Amino acid sequence: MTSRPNIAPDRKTVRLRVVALGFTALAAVAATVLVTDAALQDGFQVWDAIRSALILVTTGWLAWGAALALTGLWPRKPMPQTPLLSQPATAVLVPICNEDPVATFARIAAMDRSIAAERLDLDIIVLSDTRAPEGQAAEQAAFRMLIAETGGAGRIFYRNRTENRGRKAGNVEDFIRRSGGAYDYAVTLDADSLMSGNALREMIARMEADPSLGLLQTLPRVVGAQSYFGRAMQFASALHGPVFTRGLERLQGATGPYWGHNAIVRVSAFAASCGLPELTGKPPFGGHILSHDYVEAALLARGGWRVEADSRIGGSYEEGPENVLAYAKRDRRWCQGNLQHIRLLMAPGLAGWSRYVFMQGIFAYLVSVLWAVFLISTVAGTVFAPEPDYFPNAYQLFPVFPSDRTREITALVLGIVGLLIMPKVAILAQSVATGRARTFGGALRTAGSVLSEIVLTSLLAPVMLMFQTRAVLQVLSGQDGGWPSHARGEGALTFAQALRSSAWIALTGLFALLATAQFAPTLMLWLLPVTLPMLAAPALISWSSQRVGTRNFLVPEERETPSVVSDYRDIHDRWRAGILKRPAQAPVEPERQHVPA
Amino acid sequence: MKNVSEMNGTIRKLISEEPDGWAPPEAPLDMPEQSLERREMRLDVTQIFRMMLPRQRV
Repeated sequence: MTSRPNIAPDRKTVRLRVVALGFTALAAVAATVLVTDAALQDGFQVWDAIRSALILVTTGWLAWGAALALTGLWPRKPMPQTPLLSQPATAVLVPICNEDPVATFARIAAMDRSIAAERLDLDIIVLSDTRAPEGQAAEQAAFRMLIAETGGAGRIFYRNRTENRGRKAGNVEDFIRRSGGAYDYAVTLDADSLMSGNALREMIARMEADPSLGLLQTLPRVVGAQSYFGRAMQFASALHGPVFTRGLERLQGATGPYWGHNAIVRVSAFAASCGLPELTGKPPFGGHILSHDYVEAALLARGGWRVEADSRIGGSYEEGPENVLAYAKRDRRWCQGNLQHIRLLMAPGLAGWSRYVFMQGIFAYLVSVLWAVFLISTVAGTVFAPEPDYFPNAYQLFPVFPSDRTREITALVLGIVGLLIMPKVAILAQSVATGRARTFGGALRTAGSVLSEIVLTSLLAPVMLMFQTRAVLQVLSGQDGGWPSHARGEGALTFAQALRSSAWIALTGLFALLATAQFAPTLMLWLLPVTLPMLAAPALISWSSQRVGTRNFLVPEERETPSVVSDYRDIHDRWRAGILKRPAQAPVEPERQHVPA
Repeated sequence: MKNVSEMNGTIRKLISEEPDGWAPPEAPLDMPEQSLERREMRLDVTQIFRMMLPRQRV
């Protein structure tokens, strides 16, 4: 550890944290009181105790999300462009492993064009961990196309690592150990990242202006979604994402987040602070740290560096999963990575807020299991509830009927639904009031998109809950999911494909429906919003993966496509067309060489 | 690094023929491994007795 002290949060940040946590605690306690009070009417059983504890945690989690949204509702002061007085040595790092090289390198070509337009002097370095010879050959062919397109020899580089130690974090670390001494800053990207030259200029200028800033994270906007599911996620990211992130920014102090890409780091700070060890023991809890980004942010803060997110920096883009299965596959890795952070909660020297961020990540996944247990305990509680005692006292003349707590329980359900829906409604209202809704197609269209997104996510919530519960149980039982290869842009799924991956969810839903009908028929209506989507999981997954037009879920980047995005699409289409036209003896087509690990 | 222009307008080879030549310049930087796990304190009962009972051979 360095001798730089942790940067303490300022008073305003502390006050906001207290208010947000206070709101969270109040909502959690209120829900617990309602549930416990209702349970006391017919005797407090063990199921009631379980339910009370679970509602405390799960409602607290929902309330924290609502608190973030409310904290971020009002906009931050606009950010004047920071002047860049010199050109410090900066590398743009693109770590890849078994990605589609034509698409990845076309993005790099587009970014290079945007960088040149800003008259920036940056190196772009592809850090490949691809091991399969066919994949390496495809990358080399695509790299030659990239150099020909950009004339970038001497400033665009490619390195294929001989040993994949530490996966992505190890890949970046290898670069820093070998070449980090040549650069002041490094921008980290994913294979599907796009950043404009203007965004890069602003990030470098901010780092230059604040010598205590160790890492600056932008908020990437999702682009290119084509399926119903993908476009709904893209819309939510565009409309709600900036608000939630602003809430995070207001609470972050000097210990902001790092999401692993579309961010800039101070190389010397990163090198001094972020050498990740292998944790003792075997995966999933030991071994290499999977979700390295959160840990690197915590280590930078421990090293006395500021880590900040700033959603006001535009020109930062990424692509998202196009169907539920791709989302669940990525989520499995994130689940393991976050649960692994349980090992780091007591790591020496970390800032308190860093430990809290780890807790948030852990709970993001544990809460699915807790909701599942809550539902099971609700049914079990009804099945095993004792008969009411109408004459609790000896020599009692008149019977005593149990109080009806339906009103209170209904209020609880509405409160929980409110915590989920209220932030989105508040964001919609704010976007209409400020005119931001115009960029999403106007007030009515935006409202329609919000409503459709709420309906879709409500339908998919039980399906996602099952995938996450399975992921948590797999990790807790010691199954290492590793880092599966991405299949970016994978799109429409047939019903058969969806059924293969989700038949177990449909069967679980059918079992739950029949069990409730048999043992707790009074609860059946309440549980239909959970059991019916589970039963329909294969159909929902397949249907939501189909392509739809831009009429649904319009986002600002589709009204006016950013030039770096349109350049990427042009270059990519041109390269693909050129590959298809090549004669038989030409180099192997990169697209066919995209092989999984 | 080779720098060859082909007269027929096809790809201008501006980079090394070999991928090994495409790597960025070397400029090593130390990146020490950070400590993330607390060291376990082993309970040595014999040592405790030694501390409690000076001049005793335990």
